[in-house]
Amino acid sequence: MAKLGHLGVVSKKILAGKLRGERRSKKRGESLEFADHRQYSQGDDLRRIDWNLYGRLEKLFLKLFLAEEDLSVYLLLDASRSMDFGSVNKFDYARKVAAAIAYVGINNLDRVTLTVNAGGKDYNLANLRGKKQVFRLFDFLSKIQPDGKTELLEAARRFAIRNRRPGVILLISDFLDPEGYEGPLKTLLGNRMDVFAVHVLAKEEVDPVLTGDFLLIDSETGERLDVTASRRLVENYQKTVKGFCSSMQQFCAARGVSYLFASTDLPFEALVLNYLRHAGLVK
Amino acid sequence: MNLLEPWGLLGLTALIPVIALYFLKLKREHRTVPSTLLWKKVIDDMQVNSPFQRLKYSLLLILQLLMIALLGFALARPYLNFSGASGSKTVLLIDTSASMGTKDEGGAKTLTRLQAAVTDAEKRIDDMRAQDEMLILAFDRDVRQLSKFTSDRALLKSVLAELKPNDLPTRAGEAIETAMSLCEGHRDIRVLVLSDGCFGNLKLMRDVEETVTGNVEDKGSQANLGTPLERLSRKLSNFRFVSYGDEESDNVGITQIDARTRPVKTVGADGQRGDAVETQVFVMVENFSSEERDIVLGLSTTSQRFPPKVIHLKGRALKVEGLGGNAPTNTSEASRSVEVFKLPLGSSGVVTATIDSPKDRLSVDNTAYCVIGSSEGIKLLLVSKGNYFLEKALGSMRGITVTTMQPDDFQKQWDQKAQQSVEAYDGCIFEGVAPISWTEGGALFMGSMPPLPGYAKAEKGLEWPTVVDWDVSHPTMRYVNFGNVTVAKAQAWTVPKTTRVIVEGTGGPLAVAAETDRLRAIGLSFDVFSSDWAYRPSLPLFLRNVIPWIAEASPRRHPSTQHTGEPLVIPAGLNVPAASLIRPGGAPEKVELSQDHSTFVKGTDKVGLYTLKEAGPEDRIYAVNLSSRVESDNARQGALKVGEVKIESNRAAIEAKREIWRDLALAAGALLLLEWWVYHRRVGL
Repeated sequence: MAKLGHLGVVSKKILAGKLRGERRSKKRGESLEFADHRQYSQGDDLRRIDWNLYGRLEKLFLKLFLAEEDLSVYLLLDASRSMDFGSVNKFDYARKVAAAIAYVGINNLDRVTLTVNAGGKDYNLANLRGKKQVFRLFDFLSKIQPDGKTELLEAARRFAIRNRRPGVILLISDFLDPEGYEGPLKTLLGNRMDVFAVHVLAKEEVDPVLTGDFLLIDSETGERLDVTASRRLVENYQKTVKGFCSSMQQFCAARGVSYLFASTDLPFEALVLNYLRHAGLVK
Repeated sequence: MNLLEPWGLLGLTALIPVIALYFLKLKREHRTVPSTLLWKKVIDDMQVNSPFQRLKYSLLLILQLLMIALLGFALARPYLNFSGASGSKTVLLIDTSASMGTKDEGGAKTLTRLQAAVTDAEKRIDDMRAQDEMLILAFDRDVRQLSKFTSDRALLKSVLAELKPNDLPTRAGEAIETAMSLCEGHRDIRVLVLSDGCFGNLKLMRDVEETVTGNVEDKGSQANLGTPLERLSRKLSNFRFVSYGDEESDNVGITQIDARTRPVKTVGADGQRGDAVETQVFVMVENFSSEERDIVLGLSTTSQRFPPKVIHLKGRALKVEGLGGNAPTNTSEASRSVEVFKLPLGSSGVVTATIDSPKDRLSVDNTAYCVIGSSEGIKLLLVSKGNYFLEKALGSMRGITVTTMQPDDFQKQWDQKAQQSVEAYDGCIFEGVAPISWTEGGALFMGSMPPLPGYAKAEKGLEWPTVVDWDVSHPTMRYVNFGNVTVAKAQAWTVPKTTRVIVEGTGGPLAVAAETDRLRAIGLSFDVFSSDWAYRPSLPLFLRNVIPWIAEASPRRHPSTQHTGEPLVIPAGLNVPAASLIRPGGAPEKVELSQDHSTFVKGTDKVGLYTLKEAGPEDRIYAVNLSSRVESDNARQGALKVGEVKIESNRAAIEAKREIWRDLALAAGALLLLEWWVYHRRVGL
């Protein structure tokens, strides 16, 4: 927590906030950071006149300062049944990431909204601001249990309708959606969000240890698949997983989405303190 | 249905491992994964590149298994007995005509077409079941029933073993009609025709329209419904045809031989003028193959052999179907030639024409015979009360010896000997009288009606009939001008249609000509003295034409040649009760002779010379030839054409058991197409 306290959520875009905060804004405001001069006109606040400049030019100019606003940080967490997998549970890992980012946001007086999609329903915790909300956040996350199918597209649509204010959004999922990952990402981009896709996969998914004949059962659909796991098959599977991640990364890069791959064997601290910082989400 | 190769069913065992694999299921460990999305993608990718895949239930699999099963079953050569129910009847029509003696090349040993047909027929007999019955009909010039409906295989085979090709033309129409009669009312009887089809299109004697069988109620029956063609098709629906031989003929043959004689005046070494007869032999040679041929034709008499002639004949164009007729179609003149041999004066006896080269597969038409009659002058009998003009005209003609007889004397002789009374003469002239009948030889009836069947005379004669027309194309009317002849009185005759009117007058014929194989007669319906013809030069010209023409009909002079199958006619009055007949290549056989009428001897089914001995001072020789262009044109016909109905040759008809492996293979092919369609339609299960 102490380490996280030094971090802050970074947006690559300068986004308009709602309340005053610690984030630089396009608007002119009352921060300490100088922005520009403009000529005095009747009715302006006399306290803002730059008297030093008057002394040199004998003309009245006002000093303008940048406004500081808060940042909307959105977290959309996939809690489908496919996330409930792995020796290091994917969902646990994902909600830790979500909690960490939310904490960083709250700690920086940003407005944090968390939406968890589980069993086809959205569970919202909106507009968290102030450090007191941290415990409420943790409590909310701890109560969520993965359930239902992955329906990222529908979840993204509903999310975009609910949250129209621009901000930073983290979509945390395994993206194992039969309907693809493209739709939800496009939907979120359409809402002028600074989108981060956090792709969480279990270690067993990336590097499965299978030998012999198996009947694979899909955790979400119950679909059964006879597999004779030969070495060749496993190698082909690994290639397919890499190809899946690679194609998703290319898709994100082409559309300005920050793609972050997180295998559950990557230690959480390393992910947040190094990996996310390196990726530019926090500083 | 039975199987010829039951072991072939072992091929079906190939299905067992396939089906076993299909039903076999492995015990698999259940493993829950977040999603099978990526696994399915991997397996799909691997299946595309892998030569094997796991067996799945699919329509394609079923179709493939069915196809294998059909092919495996086809390997066992299953067959159906096409006769259907047991106890079926078959009429076997087998052609024994001359063309069936063709030895077609092919195989280890060369068989005649008849031998090949007999072999097939024996195979068919072997396939008969205990209840099946067969009747054998052989046909050439006649139809012969060789057996009754019987299931006795040994008997049927012995009947077949005795069959030999005869040098006879084919009358297949009668055979077909006989078979149709046998089948009438019996739908289960099948007719199998084994022939080379060398008889052209068949036209049945009885009109199908009129073949209403049974009583009046039957007229409305189904058998009589439809067009004549449909009815004929129905009647022939149980006919099967198997054709033998090569489709291309290599045959060259003599298709006709004949001789003509004419009296000529001769001058001897001592300057004496004499009478003799010059004989010309006409031989028609024909090339039935499609290639050009150089044919060496030889001719010889009993005492002399003439230098052979080399004849170049073009190939014959292929037959064109549908032109009809029994004669070979599309035979160009260039593929046949008529060669004329002029024999030395006084030649008589047997003339033999032979094709020395090339050799072909049908030998029976390579030789032809002709018997040249007496070479003496024409002996003529004139039965007349006396006619100056006639006697003068006859006396001026060369090579004719006239014997005059009064009608009463002739009548006495006729009453005693009938036709025999004129056998010594080459021709007779009857003026104002006529014998009761006239069956053989040549005669001129002047002012008396020829005693021939179909002739009738009206009671009232014709007065001053005018000559309307005369037929200059007839041999007796050459250079004869009837336009200036006036007839005062003539008899009114009614003549049969077969008689040719050579001078037409108002109210009826003035002169007629009748001709058959053994008879030539000219009749004048007016008396010469009732006209001014005696003063016209046309009378001696007419007599000059008529005498040689009627003399050719004389049995004594007529160059004798006849077709195979025609009976030998031995005239009555030979004064011997029996004679000895030697057939070609045969031993002498006794022939009983009738004194009252001509004796007909059957069995002229071989080409050659038939010699009758001990029937007179000299042997009587009969020349018998095939002389049939239809038989010589021995290219195999692919279909039996009866009127408008065509029955294609089908060798499978020989088999009583019809193998169905081809059908199964076709069904397998159809399944393959269906599978292809299913595959492209993505109809999967």
